Amino acid sequence: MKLNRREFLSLSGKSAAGAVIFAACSIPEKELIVQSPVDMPEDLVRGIDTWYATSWNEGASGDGILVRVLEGRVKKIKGNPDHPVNRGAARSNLDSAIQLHYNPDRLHDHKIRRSKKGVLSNISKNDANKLISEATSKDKKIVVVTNPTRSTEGWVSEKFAESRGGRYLTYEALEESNLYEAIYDIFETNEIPHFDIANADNVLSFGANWIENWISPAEYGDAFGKLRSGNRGFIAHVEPRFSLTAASSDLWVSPTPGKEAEIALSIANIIIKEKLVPDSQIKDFLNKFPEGKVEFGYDPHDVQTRTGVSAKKINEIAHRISKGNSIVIAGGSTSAYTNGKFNTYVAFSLNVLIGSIGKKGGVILNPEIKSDYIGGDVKPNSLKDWQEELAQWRAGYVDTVIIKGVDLAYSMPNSLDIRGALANVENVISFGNIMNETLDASDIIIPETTFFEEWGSEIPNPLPGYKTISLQQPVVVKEGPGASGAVSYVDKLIELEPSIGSSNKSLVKKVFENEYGNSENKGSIIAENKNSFMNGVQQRGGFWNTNEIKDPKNIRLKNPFDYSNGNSFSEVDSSYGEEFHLIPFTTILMDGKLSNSPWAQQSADGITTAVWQTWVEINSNQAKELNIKEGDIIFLKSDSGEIKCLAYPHPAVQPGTLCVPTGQGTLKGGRYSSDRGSNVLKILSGKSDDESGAFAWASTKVSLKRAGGNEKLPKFEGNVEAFPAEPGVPVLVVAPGQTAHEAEEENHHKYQEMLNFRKHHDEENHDENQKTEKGH
Amino acid sequence: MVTEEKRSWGMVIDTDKCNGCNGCVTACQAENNIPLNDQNKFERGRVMSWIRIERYWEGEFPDVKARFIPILCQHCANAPCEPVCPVYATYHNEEGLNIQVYNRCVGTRYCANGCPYIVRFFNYWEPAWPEDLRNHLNPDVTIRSRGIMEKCSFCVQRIKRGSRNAKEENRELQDGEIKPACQEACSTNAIVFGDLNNPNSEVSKLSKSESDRKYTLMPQLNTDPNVMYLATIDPLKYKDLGEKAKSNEH
Repeated sequence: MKLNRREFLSLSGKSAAGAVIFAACSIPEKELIVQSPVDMPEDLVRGIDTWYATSWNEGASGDGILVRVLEGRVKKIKGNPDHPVNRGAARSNLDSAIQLHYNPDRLHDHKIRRSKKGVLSNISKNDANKLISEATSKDKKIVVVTNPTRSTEGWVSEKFAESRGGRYLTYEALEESNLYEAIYDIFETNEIPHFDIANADNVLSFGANWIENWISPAEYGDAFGKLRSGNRGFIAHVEPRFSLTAASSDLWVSPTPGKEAEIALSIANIIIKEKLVPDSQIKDFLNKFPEGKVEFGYDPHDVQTRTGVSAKKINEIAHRISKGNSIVIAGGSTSAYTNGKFNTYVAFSLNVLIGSIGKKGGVILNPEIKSDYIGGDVKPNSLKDWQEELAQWRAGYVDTVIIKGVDLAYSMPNSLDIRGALANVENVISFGNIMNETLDASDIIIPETTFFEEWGSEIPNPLPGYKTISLQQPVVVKEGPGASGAVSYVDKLIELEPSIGSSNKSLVKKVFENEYGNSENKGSIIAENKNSFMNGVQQRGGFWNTNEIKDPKNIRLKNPFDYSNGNSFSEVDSSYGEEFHLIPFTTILMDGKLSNSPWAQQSADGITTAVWQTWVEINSNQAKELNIKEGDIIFLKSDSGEIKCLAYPHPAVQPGTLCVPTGQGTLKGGRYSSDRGSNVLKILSGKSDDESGAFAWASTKVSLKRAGGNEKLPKFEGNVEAFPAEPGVPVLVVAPGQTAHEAEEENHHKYQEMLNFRKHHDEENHDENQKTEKGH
Repeated sequence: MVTEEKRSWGMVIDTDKCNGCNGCVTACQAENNIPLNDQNKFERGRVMSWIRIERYWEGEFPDVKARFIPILCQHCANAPCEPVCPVYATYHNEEGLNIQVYNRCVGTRYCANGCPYIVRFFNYWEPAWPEDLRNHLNPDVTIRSRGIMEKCSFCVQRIKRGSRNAKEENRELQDGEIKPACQEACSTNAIVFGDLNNPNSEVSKLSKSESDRKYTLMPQLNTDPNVMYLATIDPLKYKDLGEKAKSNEH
């Protein structure tokens, strides 16, 4: 058959149409079994990945982590399931640390400022080394400053300061030194105990935001999950601010700031009066207090008047924690008032009354670990220590300051005038990965390695109830991408003072070689020789020995009313007036440490869902009274300065208080942290606890001023349309023993009643309107 | 143990254990090469987040509660997103996964319109990372380009890698061997992933033994999700402790 072009096209069109019509009758079979048709990366196995067991000193207090390395690059971090502290659990900030390592603003070169008023400029490593050697020579008066740490790094810092007859100090922005003080007074130990939350039936916490970021959040997160499994435990949380711990608790009470101890004493009062625990425990506890103080001074109804917390709630908590395995913990803002030590001490002493010390689900005391080549302290120096120290700097009595792991210029309140102090020190030498305010105020900047590139050993804080030493090992090479020119802090100090040791690596190895010698083949690694032992340490991420525990001993309480500031709440009274009580809190950004990581910046705050900015939480009803809306520009002014924030009203803020996150507002950072938000740490009053000298960072009053403008507050909330508003959807809440189906039915009935009520109400209004119209 | 032919991947999320820490969200971003969400994206409502934590308020101060729930692709058996795709870029595979084939997607966004859970995200911009940050990109996961849709894959790359490892070692896949990034990062173990067809898997047991607390999102739509939730327990649900302090009301 001969076809011309026209006929060919006509036939082709008809057969194509036929195929379409035929195909439309049913879905072609091949499409029903369709799988990914082309190999995508997800379908291929790309190379072999390696997981290294290590730890992160600065950001994870000795938790065990596993780092995934592929093609010589760090790809992912997760918790080490083998490690006894966090048992595989991870902090929410872990992955963000990768972006500090591969940060586009990472420092590669040494920098120098020729005069105090000059500008920073690059300098060769050799030239910098000459200047550093001169500045740290034996005749110089030297101070070494780091973040609180108990590690090889801490030991080297101590030794170096000693070698120059100098001092070694640590600083933490929202410090917890009152926690250590109170624990020492009760338990006579410098070690924070292991809080056995996982096995507790009831947990009562004061101020300590343990679910989000207090002390050891990965460990406590794991424990929280276990507490909520099986025989579900009960959590009561006492804190003026609505933190993630408050949100996750079964009962949140929000006392007037500074009056937490009154709640604790009132709980004690109920337990004693109603004899909710054995007599022996009551006698033991009462012996520590002046007669009558506890029994008659803290009636829950009186305390309700003073603290604003209902007597019913206090009563509920007292009855709950008197049963089963119960535990009381305290810290955070509770220990950060001018009466912080008193608050913390009284709260912890409840453990004596309920008999939780040394018991399963209670407070397990930790052994005090001594290890050669591990030094420093996890307890930071107090505000009082720093006031004295900075006076020395200002007076010109210090020649050289070496700073590592802490941004002093950013995190100290204005009242300490750290910049003025640094200006009077001849040589300020700082180590860092990315530019920050302290580096900007330094005379010599040394680009530093990250924990992915460095050796280290650390005693975790807190220990899991027995001896544990975590290992940090390099997982990528120092010369790898993003890291050229970086210098190890420990190796640099050793280079300046060779008597300390031969290298960081050799010191870390010595730590574990000593353990090999002392452990007598007991513990997590059993090996025939030192090398095999060290291999085991590198595979498991540390060494631990469950046999090395704290010897049980009698607890001798002190009388808390002997404290000089025992019952003085005048500094922290939060009256509902022109002045507000300022409560600063930390988020994933920590004290700004992670503000250069875009993942950390974009991680929504659990309560507000706000990101990338500084916001101020204000009670929604109070905001309405003050005509403040979300995004309104607010100025907060204290006796120490003024900052700008964007308002975020929500229903869980205690009226009279304002809550502001830390981490933003650096004056000198990388591209992800610069020019955004405000630094709340700057406006904190320089008040301290007279008893301990600790920084009372939760004792600042501020005035609130509307600037008249409004900006869009960046937040996750609202990015996704809300689900239908039927009660219980999508977060279904059941009572113990109630099924999901029953709760759904109940919610549905409530919803129908509400709709019927609205319908009835609308109809009535409609009739009323019609009558009114007719009347007119 | 899991046999390859009978797998049906699913997830149970215990909202009673979710504390809203957002660890799962960051871990998902890191694992799946999700473009960075800068401030501008939040302000314009264009945030890409395969898993998100939603927070709901209940009550007023001082008797106020916040409830958290992680929301991700529900991998529905009757997925409304699948039949609307004109190019079969989204389909259901034999293991119960709702798969997105990036190189088929033409960006009609019909699937996003059809999804009642709002867990599908459109790439309005070409994803960009500064050169140094490209070092941490996961080579196991496609970098999606502008104009296509993406969503939670249950970390299919981990399923593939785990399955192949098991095959190479001539053994069957163990329950718990494959964990998506969100589960791995969840410190409270609120998220459990596994094979729903394996009666011995944890996810299977949870979806049955805890069935008194089990519910799914929007059951009235009959989407038959492979993600199930366990209800939050409130021990004080019917207890009246809500009396405000009389003499010093805040």
